[in-house]
Amino acid sequence: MQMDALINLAVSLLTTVSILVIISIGLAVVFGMMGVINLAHGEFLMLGAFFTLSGYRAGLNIWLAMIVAALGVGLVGLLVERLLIQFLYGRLAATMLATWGLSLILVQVVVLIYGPSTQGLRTPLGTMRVGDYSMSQYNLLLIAVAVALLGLVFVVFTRTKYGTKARAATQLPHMAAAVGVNAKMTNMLTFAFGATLAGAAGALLAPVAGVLPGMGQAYVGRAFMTVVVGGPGVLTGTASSAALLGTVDSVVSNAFTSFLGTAALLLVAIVLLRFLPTGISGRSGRQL
Amino acid sequence: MSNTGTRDRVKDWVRTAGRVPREALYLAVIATVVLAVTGALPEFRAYEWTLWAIFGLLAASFAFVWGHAGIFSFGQAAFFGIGAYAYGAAGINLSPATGETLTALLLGTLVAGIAAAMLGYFIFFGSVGDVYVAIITLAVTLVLLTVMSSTADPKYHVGDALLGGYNGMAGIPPLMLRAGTALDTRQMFAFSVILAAAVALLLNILRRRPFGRILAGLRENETRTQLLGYDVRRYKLGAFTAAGLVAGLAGSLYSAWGMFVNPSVFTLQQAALVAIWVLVGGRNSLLGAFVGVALVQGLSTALGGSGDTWTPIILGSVLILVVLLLPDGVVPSGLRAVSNVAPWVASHRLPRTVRSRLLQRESTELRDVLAARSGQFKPKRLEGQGLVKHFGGVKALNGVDLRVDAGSVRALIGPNGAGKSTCFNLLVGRYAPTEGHVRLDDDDVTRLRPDQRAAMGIGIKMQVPSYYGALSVFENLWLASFAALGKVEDSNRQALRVLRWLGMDDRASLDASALSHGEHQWLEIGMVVAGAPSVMLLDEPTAGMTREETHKTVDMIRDMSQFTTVVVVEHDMEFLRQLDAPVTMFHQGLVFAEGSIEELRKDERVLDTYLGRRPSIDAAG
Amino acid sequence: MLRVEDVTAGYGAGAVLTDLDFQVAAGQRVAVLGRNGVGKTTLLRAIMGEIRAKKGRVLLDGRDISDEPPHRRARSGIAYVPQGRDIFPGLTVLDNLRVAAYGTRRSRWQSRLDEVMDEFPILREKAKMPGAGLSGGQQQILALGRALMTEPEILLLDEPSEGIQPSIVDQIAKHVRRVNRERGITVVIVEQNLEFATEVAEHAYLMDKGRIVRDLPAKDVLADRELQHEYLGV
Repeated sequence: MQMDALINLAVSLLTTVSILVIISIGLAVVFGMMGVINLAHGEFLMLGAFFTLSGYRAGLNIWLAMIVAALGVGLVGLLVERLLIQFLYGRLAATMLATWGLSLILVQVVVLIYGPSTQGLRTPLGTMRVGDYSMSQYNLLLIAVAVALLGLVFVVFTRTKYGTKARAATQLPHMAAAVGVNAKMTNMLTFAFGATLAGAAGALLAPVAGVLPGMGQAYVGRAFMTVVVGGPGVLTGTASSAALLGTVDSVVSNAFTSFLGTAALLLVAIVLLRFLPTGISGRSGRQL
Repeated sequence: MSNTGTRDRVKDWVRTAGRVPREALYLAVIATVVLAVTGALPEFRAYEWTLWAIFGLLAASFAFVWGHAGIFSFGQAAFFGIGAYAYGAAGINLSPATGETLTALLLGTLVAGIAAAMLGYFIFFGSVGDVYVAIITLAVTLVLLTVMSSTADPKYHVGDALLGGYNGMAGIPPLMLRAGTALDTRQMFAFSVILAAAVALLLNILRRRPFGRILAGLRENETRTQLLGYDVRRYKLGAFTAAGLVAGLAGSLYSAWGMFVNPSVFTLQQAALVAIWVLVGGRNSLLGAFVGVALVQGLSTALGGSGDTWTPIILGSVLILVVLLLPDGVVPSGLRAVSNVAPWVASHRLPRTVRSRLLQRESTELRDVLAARSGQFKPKRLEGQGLVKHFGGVKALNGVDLRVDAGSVRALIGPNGAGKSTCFNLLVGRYAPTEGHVRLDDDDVTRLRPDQRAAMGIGIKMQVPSYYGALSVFENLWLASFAALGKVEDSNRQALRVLRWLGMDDRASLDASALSHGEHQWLEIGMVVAGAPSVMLLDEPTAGMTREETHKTVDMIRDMSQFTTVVVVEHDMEFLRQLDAPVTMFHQGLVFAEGSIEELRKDERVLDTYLGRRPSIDAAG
Repeated sequence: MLRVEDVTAGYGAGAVLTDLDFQVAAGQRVAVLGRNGVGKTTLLRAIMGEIRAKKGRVLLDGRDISDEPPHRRARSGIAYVPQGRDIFPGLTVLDNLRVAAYGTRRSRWQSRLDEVMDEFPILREKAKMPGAGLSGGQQQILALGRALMTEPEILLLDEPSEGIQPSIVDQIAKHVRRVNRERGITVVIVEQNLEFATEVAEHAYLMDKGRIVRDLPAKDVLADRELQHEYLGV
């Protein structure tokens, strides 16, 4: 195969994997650290896209708009944790149902404010030519950002006070309390952090996906499966799972349609779960 | 739960077998009312209410699989959809030839049922945790959504039925009972409501049969159910398949009602709606399923008038509020509130006035309890030979030979970390030994799991109390009996006998969670005894008991030792002194001393090991 | 400075401690002795707040802390080293030490960290190793160091000698006596190993069936064989 074709394929594959990482990392943080399944994760993502849109239209530089949007969603996450999630820890079905109700509300609220149709946001950065192929530089950015986000999560959990406390609280809740860690506080911050990451995902995807109130639905299924197949290891799990499922998705999508690519991803995930019920990183017991 | 301490619950149970279920009566009443009312019903109402009945049936399937069996499955919508599409395909292909669509109805139901059985097997026989059941069923629903949405091309078809992608399958025939005559709207209404009611009532009968009782136990405490010897995987598969069949039937009716189906049946909205209906109506209530549908759908329709925009917000808020404030659901909470005012409303059971003959002649002989399995009591010898257990680098047990003769009692004691718990757990089957064997009489049980050992007659009571808190004391004992005896009547008798032996007659109808701590321990001992074991393993049975309670427990164990072999792990010196049984003391993973408690008391070396005096101890004693 | 006043506490419906009354003066070193199952660990957990007293109160320096959750009590100066040490397995030795300072919000934790690592050189040696990789004895030292990072007023130790090799056990006894002497930290130690207990503590409380039954100088327990038979042996 020609060099340029190879590069094109590689970039295409990496982009798919990176998108999976980006949409999943927020959910992985919340699920891996707290065992919470947030069915409104897709809507946090959607809010990130809409906030970016508003920011951009208000005159902010696109990149700044994205950062502000992510932080804004983080704030929303904080509120959601205080008002809803904190009462439901340990109750899996209840959390799923309540966050599902939340997602219904969020979608409709956005429809009321922005209207139901797709909004446009041009892709910043242009294209570049590699041999016979032209590829979007934005995709390269996405790949870089995916790596950066993994790095960010690593740094936050290993080098900050909050991160160390949160990990202690996840490993041995009683002992963490015995050394003064306030679990309520760390839980709140963890959920907000996960929401911020979800918002960032939405912000990043806004230029390349259609920004519409229902966009969360398109991502939540894949994000879920990536996180669950990945297992409790927030970083190792997500990265390996995204790599595996992303490759399946990419290959099948190129050969058939993107619909079937998603279906293949989901099927492979189901089979993997059957044989590795605790996920790829489940056996190793790694937390990150 | 109404706990009037009466024997209503017991009698109700005992009389389940061999009489016409009251559900038949309910069905007759419902059918009469429906048929009477149908003629007067405006057509649009009949059309709308048919849908509610169909949704109600779908909700009932979820109430059964989740509320009753405790399996949180997002898959009911998927089986609903499968049934719908299957009816469509079967109907389109077969009805021109046969002139009826009952076959299609049957086929739709069966296809969904088979899909459920296959998925269920995949899930439950793969030891997947609860979280993952929810996730896998969610994923399957999503896969179906994705796949069915991309079948727009005409090459995707089943016979003459085009799958139709996003737009769905059109041209589905309505329900036709015979030769070309379709049911009109009102007839469809009557048919659907009566059928839905019949199936829901069937589910209710199922809940009261042993299968359903065991599912309830499974829901309440899966570990305990396993330890009693039930293969929980098969029961889960059964419940899941039953629910799949019901959902499939609902789906088929749906197709027939609308004469159309599209992939929207597989969306997350639909799956969540099922959950909303059941949450509103009451998790474990089949009637509540229909009420929930009526309330939620009624609300949606009412709001639909003022614009679709508010419906999702209201639905979402309802979901959140119900989850936070009314975890049991609207109907049960409502019933509870009403029953505080008017108690007779909540008790939908008619009081029994006729005593069953069964209850009169019960013997309280423990002998009969323990002989129940095979007609005579048969204590067995339990042996551990050359038991070694290493956990990674830790040598917990270094070569222990233990022999407990049939019909004797033995206490295992020793300081922390000495190996008595490890040895006990090897006897229980919680782990397999690194080396060595465990034998029951001449059978080698070394490789068997605890539930398999339970089936072989080793009764196990673990340290942490594990019983069915939300079920009555009687039901707890019944489930234990049924696991060993397999027959409803025999289990009734057994449970009653054990109840008498425990001296807890007056507690029969109480929820087990209402018992005192000591009574919990006795209940569990009772549950072990009810299984008519040939060997009983008890881990700290007097933990947390008062002096008097300990005394009674000693008496119970002495009773038991006449008919079965008993091995006890205990710290409580008072208990051991009263029991006055041979003792095996562990230290550093080996048997350190054996003898009576008095002999060990006098032994200075024994005291030294308890005090941790290392210099004077060497492992060989 | 610590008073457990007529406390009844337990798990679920049962009561393990019954009307237990117990107090320790500031700067004392006391041992709580008794057979398995009498409630020694439950007592420490009730002091720490992991178990709420159903009846009675827990007072620290005269202040009623009965309703305070464990993390507050830790910040108030109670340090707890549970049975089995409970080292955070996925955190490095350094992080195990730091998290205690973060949690209890101690400022100047950097210098504290240096002090602790000076006192226990093995911790400096293994600083980057994850907690799960240490031996039992090393974990015990880490647990002690971690407790000291919280700058406690009172140190609760649950069976610190269990499963640890003798040389490290002696080390621990020395360190505990030293922090008591040099910093006035009160020490409450639950033990089954009588000799270790008497090395560390001056005063002993004997427990039986959820109550304190005897209260006497530690060396008197060591000398009295009858007492040992009655409350500590078979």
